[in-house]
Amino acid sequence: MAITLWALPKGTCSRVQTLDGALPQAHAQRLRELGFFPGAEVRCVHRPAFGAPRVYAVAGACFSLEKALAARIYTEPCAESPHGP
Amino acid sequence: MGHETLLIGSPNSGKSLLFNRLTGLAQKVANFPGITVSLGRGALLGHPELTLLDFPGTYSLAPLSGEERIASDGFHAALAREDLKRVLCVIDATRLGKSLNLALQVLREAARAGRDVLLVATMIDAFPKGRDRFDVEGLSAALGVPVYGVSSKTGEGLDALRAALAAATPAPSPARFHALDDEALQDEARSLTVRFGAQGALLLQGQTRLDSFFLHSLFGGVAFFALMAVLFQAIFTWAAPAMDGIELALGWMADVLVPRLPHPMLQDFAADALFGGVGAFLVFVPQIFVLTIIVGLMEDSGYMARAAVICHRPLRAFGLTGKSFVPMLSGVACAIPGIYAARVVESPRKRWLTYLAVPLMPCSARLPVYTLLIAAFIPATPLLGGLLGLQGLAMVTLYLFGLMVGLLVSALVAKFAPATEDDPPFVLEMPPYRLPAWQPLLRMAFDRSKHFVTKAGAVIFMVTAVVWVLGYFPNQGADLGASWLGALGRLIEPLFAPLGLDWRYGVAILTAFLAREVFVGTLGAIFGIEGADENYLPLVDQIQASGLGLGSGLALLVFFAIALQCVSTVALLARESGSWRLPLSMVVAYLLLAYAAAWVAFLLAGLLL
Repeated sequence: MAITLWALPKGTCSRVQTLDGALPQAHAQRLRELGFFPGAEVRCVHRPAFGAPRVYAVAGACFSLEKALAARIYTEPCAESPHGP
Repeated sequence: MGHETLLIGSPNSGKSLLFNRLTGLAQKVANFPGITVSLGRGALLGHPELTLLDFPGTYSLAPLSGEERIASDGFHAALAREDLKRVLCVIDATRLGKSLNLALQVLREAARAGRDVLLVATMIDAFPKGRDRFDVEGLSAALGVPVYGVSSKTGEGLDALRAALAAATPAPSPARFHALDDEALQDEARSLTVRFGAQGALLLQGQTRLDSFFLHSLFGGVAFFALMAVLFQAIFTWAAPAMDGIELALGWMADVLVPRLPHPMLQDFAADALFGGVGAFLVFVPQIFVLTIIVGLMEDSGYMARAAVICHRPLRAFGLTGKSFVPMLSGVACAIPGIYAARVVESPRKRWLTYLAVPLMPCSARLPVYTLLIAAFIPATPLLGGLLGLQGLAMVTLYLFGLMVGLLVSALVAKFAPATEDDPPFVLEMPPYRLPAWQPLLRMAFDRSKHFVTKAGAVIFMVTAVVWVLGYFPNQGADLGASWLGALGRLIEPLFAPLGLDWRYGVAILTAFLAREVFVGTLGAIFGIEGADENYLPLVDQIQASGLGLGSGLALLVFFAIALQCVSTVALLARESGSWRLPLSMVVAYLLLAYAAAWVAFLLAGLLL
C-alpha cells in the first residue's frame, strides 16, 4: 500500500514508488537528482513539530522537505536493510 | 593551451575547502548549502601559472536557484573559453548519490565540448582504512576518467592532485558520455552509488543524534532562541572592552596630536572632522567583528541549515521561506551579504520578498546610530538583577522592531502577489555538523572589518570633511548657526520640525542617506565645530547637552530602523534584481513609512511620557 513520504513515521525505512505526476517537471527532476528516484530507499529521520519540514536520509545524505513536496512522493514499505539508506 | 582549472561540485561537497587547500587562499568556507555566492579565483600552490576558479555549488546543471544558475551558466561559458585547461569536478565520497549525478552531467557536457575532466573524491578520511576504504581506482575504472581521492582535513592525496593538475596534457572526456540521455545518466549514477557508495550511513549517526536535539520540537526552539540571545548579548558585552579601548586611544591621540598641528584651522579640522567624525564611527568596528564571527560560526558548524528548517513555518506565514533566514540573519551584520545570500532562495517570488525584508533587518550600520541614541536617551538602569540593562532591552526592542517591520512588509506584499504552482518548494540539505575552522573565520571577520573601515571610512571622511567645511566657513567656526551649513539646515528644518528635530539633526539625517553610520560622523563634526576649542568630548554628552527631547530621540530611532539609507544596498539590489525599479520604489516607500512611523512615535511619546 502506498504511503506518502510525509506520512512516514520517524525512523521508518521506505522505498520510493512514484513521484506525483502533478509535480512540476523541474521539481521532480531535482528530487530524482538528489536521490529520491523510484526504487530508492528513504528513511524519515526527523519529524519536527508544527508542520516544519521533515528530514529524510537518502543515499547517505539528509534533506529536509516541506509538506508540498514530501506529500507528493509515494512510497512502499521495504524490508529493513542492515545498513539503512 | 589554457591555464585555467574550473572547480565545480554539489553544495557541501567540500569544494570551497579544497579550493583553499589547493590555492592557500581563504575562500569563505561555510557549512550551509550555497555559500559560495560569487566566483573565487586563485593560483595553484607551487604553480603560479595555473589559475583555479571556484563556482557556487549546484546539484545539477539544470538550475533551480539563482546561485545554481551562476554555476551552470559559468560552467557552460567556461567550456567555450580558450583559457580553460580542464574541469575539476568535486564529488563527496561519503554522499555519492547527490554528487555523481552532477559529475555525469559535467562529463557529458565536457565530452560534447571536447574538454578534459578530472574527478576528485573528497572526505575520504571518513572511510575506514583497509578493505572498506573508498575504492578510488574502481570508480575511476568504471567511469574511464581519472579519479583522485583526497581529504582536505588531513591533507591526504592533495600533493598527488596538485601534481595531476599541473601535468601538461589534458585529455578530452570519454566520448561515450556524449550521447548519454538524462534517464541513462540517472541510472548510471544510481548503479555507481550502490557499487561504490559508503556501506551504511557513515556520517549520519552523529548527525542524527545532534539533530534530535536541534530539531526537537521543544529543545530545538529553546536552543534557537538561546543562540540568538547569545548572539546579541555578545555584540554588546564582548565588543565593549575593545570599543572602550578604541575610544580611549582616540581621545589620547587627539589630545597629543591636535595641539601639535601648525595652524589653528588645521587643529580645528583634525579635532572636529577627523577625531569627532571618523573617530566616532571607528568605535563600532569591534561590534562588526564579533557579529561576523558569530554568524560565521553558525554557518560553519552546520547549524544555520537547522535554523532554516526551524524558521520555515513561521517565515512561510509572512510569505517567505526557511531559506530567507540566512539572508535575513546576514542582514543583521550587513544588508550587502544578506542580499547576496538571497540567491539561495530558489523561488524568484520569495527571493523578491526576501529583498524587501533584508534592508529592514537591524544591520551593523544602524548599530552606531542606535548605540549613540540609546546611550543619550535611555538610562543604564539594571534589570533582572543586572542580567540585562534597560539600554540592552531598548536595543533588543529595536532589533525586534526592525524584524517585525520586515516580516509585515513581506507579508503585505505577498498578499498582493500570490504564489503560482511552479514556485519551487523548500528542499534543503542538512550538512554534517563540523567543528568550525578558526583561522578562515578570523580572517573573514578581519577582512570584513577592514572593508568596513576602508570603504565606509572613506565615505565618512569625505562627508564629514564637506560638512566641516560648510559648517566652519565663512566665519572660521565662530558661529555655526551663521555658517553655510546653518543656512542649508534652516532651509530643510521645516521637514524635521514635526519630529521635534532641529536643523543639525536634519543635516545629519540627509548625509546618512549615503550610509547610515555617516549620521554619527556628521553629528560629531557639527558638535565639534560648535564646541569651539574644547577638547574632544564624547558625542553622547554633546547630544544630551543639545536639548533634544526623548520623543525626538525615539522618532530618530524609529526613522533609522525603517529608512533605506544605504547607497551600496540600493546599487546591489538594482544589480541582483535586474532593474532599478525595485530598489528605487523601496527607497521611496521605506522613507515615507519611516517618516510616518517616526511621527507617530514622537506624538505617542508626547502623550504618554
